[in-house]
Amino acid sequence: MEQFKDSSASTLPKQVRLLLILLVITAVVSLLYVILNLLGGPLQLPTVSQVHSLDLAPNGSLAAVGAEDGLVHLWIVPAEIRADVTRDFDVSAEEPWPGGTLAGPGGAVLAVGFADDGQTLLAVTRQGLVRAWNVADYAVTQEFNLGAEPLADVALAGNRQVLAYLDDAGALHVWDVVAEQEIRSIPPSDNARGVIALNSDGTLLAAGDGTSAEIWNVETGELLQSLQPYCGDGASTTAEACEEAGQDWLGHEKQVTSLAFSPDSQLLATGSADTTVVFWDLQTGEASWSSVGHWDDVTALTFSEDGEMVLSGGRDFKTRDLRVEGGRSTAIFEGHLATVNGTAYGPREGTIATVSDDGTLRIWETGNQYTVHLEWSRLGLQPLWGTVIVIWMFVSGILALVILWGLWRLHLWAHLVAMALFLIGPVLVLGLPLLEVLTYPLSLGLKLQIAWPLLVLLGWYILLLVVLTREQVANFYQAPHDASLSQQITVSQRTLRMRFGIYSVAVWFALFVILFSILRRFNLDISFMGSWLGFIMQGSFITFYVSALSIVLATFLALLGALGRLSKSPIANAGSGFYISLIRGTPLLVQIYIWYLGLPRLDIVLDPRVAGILALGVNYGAYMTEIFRAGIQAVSRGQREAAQALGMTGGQTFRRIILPQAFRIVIPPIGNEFIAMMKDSSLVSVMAVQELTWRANKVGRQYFRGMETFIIAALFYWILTVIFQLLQGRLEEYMARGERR
Amino acid sequence: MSEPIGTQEEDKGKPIIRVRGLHKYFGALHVIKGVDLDVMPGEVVVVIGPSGGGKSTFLRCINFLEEPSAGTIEVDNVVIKAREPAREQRKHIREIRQKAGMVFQQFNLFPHMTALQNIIEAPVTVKGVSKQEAIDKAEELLGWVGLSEKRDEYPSRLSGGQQQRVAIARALCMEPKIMLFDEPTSALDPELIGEVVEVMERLANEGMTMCVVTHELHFARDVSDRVILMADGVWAEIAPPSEFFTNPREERTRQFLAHIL
Repeated sequence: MEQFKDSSASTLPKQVRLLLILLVITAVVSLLYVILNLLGGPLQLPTVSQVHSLDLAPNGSLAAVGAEDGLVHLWIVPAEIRADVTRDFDVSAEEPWPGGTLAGPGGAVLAVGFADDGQTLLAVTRQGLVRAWNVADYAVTQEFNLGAEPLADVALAGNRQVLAYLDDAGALHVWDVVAEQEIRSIPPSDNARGVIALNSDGTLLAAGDGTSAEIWNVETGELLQSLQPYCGDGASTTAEACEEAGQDWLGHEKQVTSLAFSPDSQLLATGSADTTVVFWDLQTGEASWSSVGHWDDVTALTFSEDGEMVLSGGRDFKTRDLRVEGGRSTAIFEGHLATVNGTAYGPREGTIATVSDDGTLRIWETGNQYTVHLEWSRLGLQPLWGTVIVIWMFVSGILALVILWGLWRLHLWAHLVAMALFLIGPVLVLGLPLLEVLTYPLSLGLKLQIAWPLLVLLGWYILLLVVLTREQVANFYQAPHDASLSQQITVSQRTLRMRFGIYSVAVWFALFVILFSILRRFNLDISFMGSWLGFIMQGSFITFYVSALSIVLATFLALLGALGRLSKSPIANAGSGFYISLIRGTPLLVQIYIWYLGLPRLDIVLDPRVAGILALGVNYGAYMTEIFRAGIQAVSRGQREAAQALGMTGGQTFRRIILPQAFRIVIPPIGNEFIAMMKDSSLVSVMAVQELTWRANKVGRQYFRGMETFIIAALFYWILTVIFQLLQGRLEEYMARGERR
Repeated sequence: MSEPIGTQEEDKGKPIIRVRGLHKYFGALHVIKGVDLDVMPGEVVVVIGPSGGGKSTFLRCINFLEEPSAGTIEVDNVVIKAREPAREQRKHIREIRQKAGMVFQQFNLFPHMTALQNIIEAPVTVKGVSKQEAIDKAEELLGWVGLSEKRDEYPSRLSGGQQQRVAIARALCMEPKIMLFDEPTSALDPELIGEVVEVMERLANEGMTMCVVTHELHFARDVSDRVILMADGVWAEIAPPSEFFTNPREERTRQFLAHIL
């Protein structure tokens, strides 16, 4: 470290010198990482690649996946798939054969397909490269260029003799693979074409065109059908008008996102962003059946060989097995952690294969759809995290240099910035991806294989932090030795406070990250949550006002109860004792039912909200009686005597002197009761009061998404509580105005 | 007690406080064992004595903060006999309390009110004085005790001496006929005693009838008309201060003075 051979260096404490050296290393390694990353070098973290297509060899021995990273991932399916084995991907055998990549930078593999004889594997990249291999020895047997790039979508005919692509201008092109020449070109349409499909012999071409699908005859270039959404009565032209007419709106309301021809080319299945799958009869152009059940875009469709079933994969991470006739789903396969982009029947009877952006290929037993039986993974970080980490490394590298300079020049801020940087940054930037990896359903060894660079980085930052907060270092920077003692002490105290603040924020962040990551693993349907957020949120107003009115009632009752308990009158005392005993001796939920069921029997029909307020208020009043009693008793005897000595009556003394002081004492415990009540108010959902829990429960049951809706409800309860705590703080401040010094 | 001491000055006009045969029991504990006292208008009576002797209890019996077990209390022609029916008694008690202002050892200002609010509270709620009138009176009294600039302070921001002076103003605002002081300086730091004693002296000079329980012997010597030594629930000696401090008649008084001087 040349620069430290300066006269001031000899005065630096040993620990400070260590810190400076660590910072130099941090800066150098961070910036080196960024540079090597930009050069595509060896320091890159393993990332998951988006996948585009899946095909199984006809004999079921191989599975090929085309991915965004330009690789065709080829897996050898073992002869026997045992039901109780989860097979982890072996990182050392990441590419089971050397020819597994297609040349070309960024040549994302959009389509892969085994030929019917199982001898040839065909792959097409976004750059317009077509390559074929002999499966026996993986030698390249064919290679040609489509002469267009980038391609938006590619489809292979079932016989692998014909391929079609959609170029970025929206034009359709059909090529004969054997002759390596274009046989048909169809100009762009007015709408946005997004996806295409070929039938088994390559004679029909389908293209998703906005909310409709077009069917073209490849040989003649003629538009055979345009499958538009339509109304069941044939007259109404909009979905709303159709609904008013009492008819079904057939077809898609949103963009078509996936297509598949049935093996006999009689049917076309279309999946859409409106989450439905529709089966069209190509003879009549009518929608025969439709299927609902996905919660997001339908991204993959595959017919079974007999054409009776369809596998649909979705952006909701789920795969559904649909019976074409009637459109009912017979099984749901849950377990992927990202969009399912490819589905296939096979490789054996009674199994299916799916591939997802989470980097795994999974093989499922259809008889046992909820269990993953076989799985090959190529897990790593999501690409986004890779980018975030590169940016972070750049920022931390530059900041490390700035901090180094600041610390070298003995600037106080440098020490604080360093602490903030190495506390909050790692939690946010490293914490989320690390948790993502660590919660993969994999063995610990594999997790560590993926996550070790993150762990090393995290360890390094912790080391830096420990050195930074060592007392000698902190004192050295926070209280310079030429300062006066009082200055040193002031600065030291301020530093302790700031360090406390920084650590607190970091802990909150860390806990949020963990919570967030656990919630992610619940596989929540975010768009579903978004669409019902408003409806459930309206319940929070009801929750709030039911709780607020209940607490007012409870406060009133508690005051009466406390006066009764403190009264020398046996009637008041016993009455109050009975009330408290009865209410505290029975569960709130039971009381709510009794209010709900009992009042109508007395011919008292109340709005459920009023009944709910009565039930909650009466219940909490009994509990709060004790609080009020203690508050009243806590006002000193001298206060009562002083008031009496001035000639005030008992009532005046209580109202003017005792009560205001008792209130100040009981405000914090009443606040606690109110917070508890806001949550207990969920119990009045059984009375059909449309508050948060009722709404969450109703929506959750209707759509079988209880987890999503209850998480929303929990969030709003939390927000209400936080808001109230802030208000409570203000109120206490106001009530304590006489006590302030 | 054939000739009740404490009633010698009966012939000089009608006493404003008249106590006869006062007994007080706390359970089985006999705290006040039958005392009599007459206090003439404008007179300042100081009660001193060892702690536990019943001084404070005696004072608190006068305005019925403690209920006497036996005896009669008369303040400004309002007579209450111990153990008379509660309904009549309650009315009389409130009458007496309005005539007798009281100052406590612990000040007992209302912490949720400012100095001014403390003072006007009782006139407005008890006597039904208009608020503006009460405020005018309170400001005058605050000026009189030297705390005009503290009118909007809460008690927690006042020193002990200032609090006690506000407490005196609070009692005076009810325009009492007599003032009862229950160890008004005992809870104060030594350097704050003077300001409170000074106010009490001025009050005495203005002719207020005062009954003071205190340990402040200077006040007793310089301001009072009569000093009473109370010990073991009875008057041990009643004498003018000159006599009391220089030439006490009773052995008990000499012992007490020797002990504290």
